[in-house]
Order: sequence, then C-alpha cells, then structure tokens
Amino acid sequence: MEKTILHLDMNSFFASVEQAANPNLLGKPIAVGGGIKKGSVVAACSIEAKAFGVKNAMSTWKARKLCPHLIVVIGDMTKYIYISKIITKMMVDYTDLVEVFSIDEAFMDITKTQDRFGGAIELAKDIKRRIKERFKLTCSIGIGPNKLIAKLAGELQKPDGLVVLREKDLPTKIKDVQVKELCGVGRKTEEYLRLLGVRTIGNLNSYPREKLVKSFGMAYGEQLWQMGQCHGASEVRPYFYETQAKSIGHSYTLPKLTSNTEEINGYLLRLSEQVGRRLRRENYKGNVVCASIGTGDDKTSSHQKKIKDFINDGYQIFKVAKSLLAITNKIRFVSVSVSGLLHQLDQISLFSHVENQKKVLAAVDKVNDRFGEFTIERAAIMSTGLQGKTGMVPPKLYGLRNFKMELRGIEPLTSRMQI
Amino acid sequence: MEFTCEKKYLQSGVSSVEKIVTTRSTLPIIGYLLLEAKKNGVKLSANNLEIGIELALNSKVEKEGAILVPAKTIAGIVAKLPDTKVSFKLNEKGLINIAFGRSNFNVHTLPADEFPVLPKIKADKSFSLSAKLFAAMIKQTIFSVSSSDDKHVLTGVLLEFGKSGRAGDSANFRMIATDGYRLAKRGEVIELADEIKGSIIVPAKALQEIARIIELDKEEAEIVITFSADQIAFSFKDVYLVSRIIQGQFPDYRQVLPKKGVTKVLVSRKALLDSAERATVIASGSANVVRFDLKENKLHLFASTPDIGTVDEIIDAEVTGQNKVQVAFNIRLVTDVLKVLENEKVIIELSESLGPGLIRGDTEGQYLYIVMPIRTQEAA
Repeated sequence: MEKTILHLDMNSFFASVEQAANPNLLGKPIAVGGGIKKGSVVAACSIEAKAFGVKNAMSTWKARKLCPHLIVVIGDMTKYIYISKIITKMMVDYTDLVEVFSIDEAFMDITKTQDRFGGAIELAKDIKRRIKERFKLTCSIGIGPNKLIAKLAGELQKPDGLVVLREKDLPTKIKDVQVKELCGVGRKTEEYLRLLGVRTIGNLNSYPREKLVKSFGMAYGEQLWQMGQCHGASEVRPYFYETQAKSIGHSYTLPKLTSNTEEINGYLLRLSEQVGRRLRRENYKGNVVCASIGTGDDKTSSHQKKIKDFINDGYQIFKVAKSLLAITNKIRFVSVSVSGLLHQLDQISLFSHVENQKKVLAAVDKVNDRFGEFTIERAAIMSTGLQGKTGMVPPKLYGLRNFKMELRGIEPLTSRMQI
Repeated sequence: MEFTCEKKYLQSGVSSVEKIVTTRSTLPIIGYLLLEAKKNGVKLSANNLEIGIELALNSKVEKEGAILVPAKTIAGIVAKLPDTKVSFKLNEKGLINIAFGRSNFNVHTLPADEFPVLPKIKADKSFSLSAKLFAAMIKQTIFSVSSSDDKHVLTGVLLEFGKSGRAGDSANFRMIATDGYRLAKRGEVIELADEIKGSIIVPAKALQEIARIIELDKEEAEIVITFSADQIAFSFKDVYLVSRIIQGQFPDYRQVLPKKGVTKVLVSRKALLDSAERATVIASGSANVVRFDLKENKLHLFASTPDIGTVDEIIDAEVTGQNKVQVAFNIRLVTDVLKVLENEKVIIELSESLGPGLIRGDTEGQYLYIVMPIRTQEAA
C-alpha cells in the first residue's frame, strides 16, 4: 500500500518566532544570533533578511555588510523549544507516528489516519491553520510516498507551501529539480555529480546504477541510485522511541583566534565536563574520545582514540582529549565528543577510591540539577566561562537529543485514548 | 667478525630477542640487534631501554668482532631459512654478508659502540625456582594486568615475597595482577632467603617475554632472579633478561579479597567455558554483559543484544548456600580465567548481586581470581 508521509518544516523558525513575539520586527530583516560582538554568527534569519543574501551560519559582520539595516536579535532557546514542543503536541493529535527531525522539522506517517481528517491535504491545511492561529507562524508541508519525497516536496514551495507528490507523479513532476534538493546530497556530492553530468533528479533517475556504485562506492552509490528512483525510507520513528545515541559532544567557537594552550585547555576541560555531565544524565559511558580544533573556517582537524575503559567523567575525557591535540597554529574552534557508547552499564571497580569518585560525581550532578549548571565546578574552569551561550546554533544543528528530552512529557495519542 | 651458526640456534635466538625490538622508537638504534663474536661464542642482544635481553648463540667463531644489525631485516631472513648452516662475515665496507645454500645477503650495519649497554645488576637480592613453575605463575596472572597507560602501576605484575600471614596460606612467593575490575593471584612455596621481603612491580612485557622463552624450551631448568631497587634480571640457561621495575604504590589487594561468599557453585570448567564462549557470540554486541542466574542447581548464562538476539545457556551445578543469585559479569573477564585454570571443576563464589565474584579451582590451591560485576539497569 502506498504510504502517505507528511513533512513539516517551520519557515525561518527562530526569526519568525522573534517577529511573532515582537510585532515591531514584523516585515523587517532580522537575524537571530549571539549578538553583534565580533565573531558571532547568524543562527537564523528572517525571510526579509534572506532577500538581501543573508544566510544562516554567516558571520554577523558579513550579514550586516550585505544588509546594513539588519536587526540582530539575541537568540532565546527556551522560547523556541517551548513553541516547538506545542507544535509537536499538535501534530500528535493527528497520528502517533510523529518523528522529530530537528527543532523545526518533523515527519508524520498519516497513512492510516488521514481519512478521519478528510484526507492528507485537509489534514495538512488544518495543521497549518492551527499553527498560524496560535503563533502567527507559517510552515511548508510536503506530502509524499516516503520521507525523501515528502521532504523534497516541502522544499519546493517556501514559505507557507503545501505540495503533494504522489507515486504516479514520480519522477516526471520533479525531473527538473536540482539534485542538491534531495536530503542526503551534500555540497561535495553535488559537485561530484555535476562532473558526471548529473544536475537534476531526472538526470539521476536515468543514470546507470553500476556507474553510481563505481563512483560513490557500494553503500552510498546504491543509496544515490535509490534516491534517483525516488525510493526512500518511509518508516517514521515516533518521537517517544528512545533512540540510541551514537556519540555525545559539545563544541565551542572561541571569541578570537588564539594559540594560548592554557586558554584552549580551559575550554577543552569545560567542554569535556559538559560532555561528561550529559553522558551521566543520559546514563551513557563511552570508550572513544574525539577532539577537534579548527581555525573557524572549514578547516578542522580531528583526532580520536579508543581507550580501555568506558568513561563518563569529564576530567578523564579531558585528559584523553588533551593528549590528542597538538596546538601549533592559532585556533578558534574546539570540540570534544565521546562515542562507543554503552547504555545503563557500570562495571564496578575493585577499588573503593574509584567507586567513591563515582559517588562524588553523582552528588555534584545532583547539586547542579537543583541549582543550575556549574553551581559546583572545577576551580580550573572558573575563569573560562564560555561567552555567549553555546546553545545558539542554526536550528538544523541544534542537538536533536536535547530537544527529544524536552518532548518526554508529551503523551502519545494511543495512550491518551486508552484513558 | 666472522662466524657460522646452525639454523635452529639462530632461529630460536632471534625469535627470543626480536619481540623486545621496537621499530617505532624515536631512537633508531633501538631497532638494531647487537652481535658480539668472541672466542668462546657469539652473543646476541636487544635493548629497548625498558627491557634488555642477551643470549648466547651456539656458533663457531672464526674472527672476533661486534656489530649492530637491523632487527627487522635479520628476523625476516631468519624466518625463511632452509635447514642449513649460516655464515656471517663483516666486510671492509661495513656490510655484513649473510650466506647460506645459494643465498647471499649483504646488509648494512652500524658500529657496535653506539648500542646502549645492558645494565648488570648489583646482586642485591637473588632467588631461584623452577622455570616451568615460574612461567605457569606468569601465565595465570599476566592476563589481568591493565593495558591502560593511565594506570601505570597496574600495567605490571606485583611480585610479593614472604608469608601473607593468612591462615592456611603457606605461600611465600606470590604474583598479583589487576586492572581494577578483576584480580588474579597465584602463590607458591619456594626456597627463599629470609632477607627477601616486600614486593616489586615488574612490567608485564618483561614477564611475558621471559615466559615465552621458557615455554620455547622443552627442558626443565632453574631460573635465577636478581633484583635491586629499580631493576630486575632473569637468568635462564643462556638467556639474560633485564628490565626496569615500575615505581609506585600497588593498590592494597588484600582489602579487596572478598570475605566468605554467600553461595558456592561447583561446575565443570569445560562446560562453563564452552557456554561462556557461546554466550559471547550474543553478548559481544552489548559490552559482553552476561547475566549469571542461579536456579535450582542449574547455572544459567543469559545474554541479549537488540537486533541480534538472546541466548540462555544452562549448566549443571552443585550449589551450596543460597540457591538464588543473579549477577552480571563482563563475560570476557570470566573466560580469561577459565582458559588458564587447569582443574576439571571450578568453584564460583558469589555474594550479593553487586559484590565481587570469586573463581578458583576445586582443589585447595594457591590460585584465586576475583571479578567485579556490572551494574545493569535491572540490578540498580
């Protein structure tokens, strides 16, 4: 049976929320970010700002050059999370099968429930109406037989779009769409495909399978071919399913370039402590530590190491991360992550000092849970407060797991009906 | 320098020393072997600054001399030797000619005087025991050392001298190794002078090498062990191996020896090992966690991994004490010890679900193994 998958993407989410919250900003080019300090970036910009060529993740300085009357608004994650949560709640009114893809994007499998709402299009219109009434926000909805096509359909009309692609329309209706619009085709792949003469989905559709496999390898080549045939995963993983994290990490962009190892180690320790804290909160331990540094543009160098023990102590993570990095040039970007994760397992040590250390961490966590992060912190990182919260990133980069934690309170439709 | 040597001596000699050589060292000279030909024979040495080894090569010396040869090249040639005599001859250009049958190698060398001298220990304390016994003790403990650079003292094996003072423990020489999650202890009664007391930590690598050399040798012989405050030397037949001693405080292992276990389980070692290894097939997908479940004289090993499956192994057991215990272990820590025990039956002593497990042979022996459990969601 043909599935009906709906993709919902909030238009310029962070910026639109700010405009909706403050009518003075309506119709004006605004950018949400860390401020106008040197080195801050645009996390999200309004439709009006986009018209000037302002893009997400652009430096504020460059954005203001393109659009001198750009209004820069300091981002407020709590607001965005709150609204996103309510929108997710609305979606759950139509089906349990709501997959949260990022803070401003979600998939719904409405195959079995659409008829109750007068069909897919009526259902989509209803969601759009409710979101607009409640928050004065618009979204683009795409409907298709799988997630790939639904997302693509959503991309075709922005803002405030509603596009339906049925199995029988494929690939004819989208044959002239650029391949880069496909979710999973990045800039590099796009460039490479162009060298092969593949620019549109139509080109990809008729491109021989063997040649794709030869150029991109077994797995990715096959995936690209499937994409060209408009095949894609249609399984929507509901938001309340616990997904296994693959890695947990934090990154930070420094206020300015530096090669001061003491300063960099300070940030590294702070990030490591944050990673450790999250590992413990989500009940994970990992045995692969990865550390990266970068100059702030695209160039980052990453190193990782597999260690013998599974750890979740920030200081231990820091020690490994530090050993991986050799600071030779000035850098602006630091990140630490831990992978090789194990859930809910704790190998008990023979030695009481190790078990005691675990108890100390648990106690510190408890205090910080109650009185806020870094109420108790290592003396070594007291001087390295990360300026401008690390949370201000473009919506697509905002940690999905963080957001999913926020969604824990939302009851699935089925359990509500049982009551 | 000129000498000839039989293949069998050359092969065993080179294979005994080559493991010491590290080619990745920043000091290139560490990648070389020292060949010293004197009237009474040829000496072969390797030294990586942590461990040094020298042994006699049974050979016929024509002309005395000493030279450094690249270890990797020599090991490569020796590995593929036909059964024949090999002649070594150093020419004026500093190349060593290695000839046998119709093969003819000329290999670059370095002058011998650059080689770090193997330290001779001032005979501080010395004792000897059967080499085979010594190797067996190493084999039963060494696998428990830590491989983490983080826990430096735990990368070595503790050699402890003198009586423990525990009732029923007659051993006056013990080896103890632990990585923090399990601990292996093997004791033995040997001839030991009264002034040898206290303990030293010996790098696992040195013990591993000496055990390997002892095991290569079929004959029974004594090993003489000499140590000072910072070095230890092993003399076994023609082999002399010297290693630094790890400085630091080994954790007080006596504190972690469990008091009486609540439950004693007697099982066939082979049956348990086979079951444990089969359970690993599933458990390897989830950090090797296997739940030991004791029910009515049956020991169940249970493991599950999402997307792969589950396993339930049932082993006959004789249980004394409490007959209902559930505890999870990293199964690899259990199979490790089952492989080095030689008893037909083993005893597992369990206490509460988060307390240590103890594994030993069924006969009153000098061996003891402690393994700490894993706290899982269910147990928490």
